[in-house]
Amino acid sequence: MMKLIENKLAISVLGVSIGLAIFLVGLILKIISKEEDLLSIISFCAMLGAALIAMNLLNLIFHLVRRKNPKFRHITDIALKDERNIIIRDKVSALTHNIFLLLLAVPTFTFVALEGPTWFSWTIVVLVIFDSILQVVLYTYYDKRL
Amino acid sequence: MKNRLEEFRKKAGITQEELADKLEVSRQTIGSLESGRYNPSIQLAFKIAHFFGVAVEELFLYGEGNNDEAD
Repeated sequence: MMKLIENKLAISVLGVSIGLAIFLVGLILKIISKEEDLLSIISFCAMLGAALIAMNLLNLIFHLVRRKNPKFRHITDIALKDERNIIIRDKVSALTHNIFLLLLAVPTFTFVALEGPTWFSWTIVVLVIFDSILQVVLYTYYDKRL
Repeated sequence: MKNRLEEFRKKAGITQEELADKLEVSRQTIGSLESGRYNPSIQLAFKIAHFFGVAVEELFLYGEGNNDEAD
């Protein structure tokens, strides 16, 4: 159990480091670059970096508290392994996925209707197709395994 | 599926929290089982039955059309 926690701590530290590196790349680009073309790359780096830092920092704090506090570890272990909680999480994630797909359709069709940038709509279409293919592949995999 | 979990738990003189702790599930799971909102997996059903020292069918009563677990 301790080894697993240590691994998760290492992954979180790695995630924070990668996020920080990406954020710094964006910051350095902003300082040294005078080209307008790089603005989207700078924004992308800043957003991705900040998201990675925030996500992994929360995980890091969670795993540190788990390591220091056995009672908290026991409570979270039960909460994570509890079969009813697992079913609830699975249902929520399936429903959220469906709602997210519907929400993605709104800006996609709006962009098409308003003759907005086509790359956005095509990216969403490719992602939705990839999502469907992934579902079929995973269904076939688990259909054979279970 | 109906069950007699609450009856067995009260007979054993333990609280929902204590039973949850022994079975390594959340207190909410015990509450949902007792109220019939949730049907356990076979593994958990056997674990509960083993804990009370009874057969699974003594604890869980199967009947057609009484599966009212939330979709």
